[in-house]
Amino acid sequence: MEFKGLKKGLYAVYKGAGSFEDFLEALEIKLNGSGDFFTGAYVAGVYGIGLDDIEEDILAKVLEDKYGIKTKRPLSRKSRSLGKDSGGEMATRFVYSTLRSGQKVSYEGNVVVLGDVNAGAEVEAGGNIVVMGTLRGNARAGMPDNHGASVTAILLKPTQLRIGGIAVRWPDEERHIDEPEMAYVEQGKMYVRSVYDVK
Amino acid sequence: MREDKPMGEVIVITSGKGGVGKTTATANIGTALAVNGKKVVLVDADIGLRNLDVVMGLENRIVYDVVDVMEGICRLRQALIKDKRYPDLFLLPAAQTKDKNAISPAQMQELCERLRQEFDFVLIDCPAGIEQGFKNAVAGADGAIVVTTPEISAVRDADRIIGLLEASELRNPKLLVNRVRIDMVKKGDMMNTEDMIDILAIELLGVVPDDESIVVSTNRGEPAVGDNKSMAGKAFNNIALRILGNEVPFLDLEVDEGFIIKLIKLISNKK
Repeated sequence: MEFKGLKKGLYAVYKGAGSFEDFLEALEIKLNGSGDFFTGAYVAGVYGIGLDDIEEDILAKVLEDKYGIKTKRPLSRKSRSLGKDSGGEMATRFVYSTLRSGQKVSYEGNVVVLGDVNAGAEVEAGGNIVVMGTLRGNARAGMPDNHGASVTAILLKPTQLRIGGIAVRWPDEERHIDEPEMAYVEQGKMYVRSVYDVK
Repeated sequence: MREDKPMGEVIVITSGKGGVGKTTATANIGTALAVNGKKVVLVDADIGLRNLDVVMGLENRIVYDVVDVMEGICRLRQALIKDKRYPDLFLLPAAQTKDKNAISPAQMQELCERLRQEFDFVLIDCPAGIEQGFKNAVAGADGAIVVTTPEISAVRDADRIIGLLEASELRNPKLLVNRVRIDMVKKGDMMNTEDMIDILAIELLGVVPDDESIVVSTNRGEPAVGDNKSMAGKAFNNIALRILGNEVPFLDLEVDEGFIIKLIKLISNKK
């Protein structure tokens, strides 16, 4: 059990594999052992465990009442929406170069590109797509109908994106984002958020 | 064949998009290499749409062409046109009455092997497009120069070409950005070189400014590197020096603009 300070606040990182009760116990041991060091701190998320609504309520109450720690809700939204079928446990293909215009990679599992995906290039995956560079081309994740899939890039500025059956044309406006971003689908709509806000 | 001479280098000059200045670049870089004491042959691989002979001002001296050589109608030596202005510069012209299918990649490879034994540099002027003509032109090359202009469409095609070059084992192509207008780049109306490098992610060989003197020299059949006043000529000469392994700083085009602006300000009596 560890706390990590990130941009948006503290993150509780749970490395054990046990239940919510184990997590809570580890958290309390940690907090009791550190005096009032965390009093007034702000917890933005929990890594390593997926919380349901009831568990989130319990955790928020414990943190607030016992230790004076505020929380941001929901604490672990992404770990819920990224279920098994999102690609989290699928085989992964690594592409060890930049994909240039006219090049295409298609795979039934996840695809990780160690480079850019340039305009005119295409990546298609049954699961998630991660681009360790700039995504300028077209990406289709969760093909044909896996809406739990996501598309992540260090710089996300694709031509078009598709996740499962949801396709979007990228807006023309210039956005000045210098954070890695993830595109995902929730209730039939595509959203984009900083990867630092995921989980 | 001289046995003591190291094998020459075969470089293809390509772009994907047409009209970005491949032929002009081939003519000027080749001439500059010859001026710097290298034995150079320019091969026009644009069969059916030959231009390099015109740009070099050697059109009226063509007797045999590259297809004649490959078909065994003449010997290689008979088809090579020696440029009288530059003793170490030769041209192997394309055929005009045939098409891209008149030669094969294997024939081109064989031709390059023969030429590299005679010459220090074999520069191949590649046709636009990604079809047979492109495949022929790159077949025998061991290096590539990708020419682009600061336009999205040209950069997109350059990206496609770099992908195809990598697929045909031509690694580490170099980028030549042609026809840059510094005034427009400054105003943000034209892509700057950094944007292009960011997308294409290959090494920059040179930046050539947009220069009216190129139009004049192309029409006259005199490469601009022979003209000391031509900015483009200077840029092409620097490119040749970089190919020869020299470290030449990139032309500071901004300084020139600064000077002109200073002059204008001076004349108009402003600060």
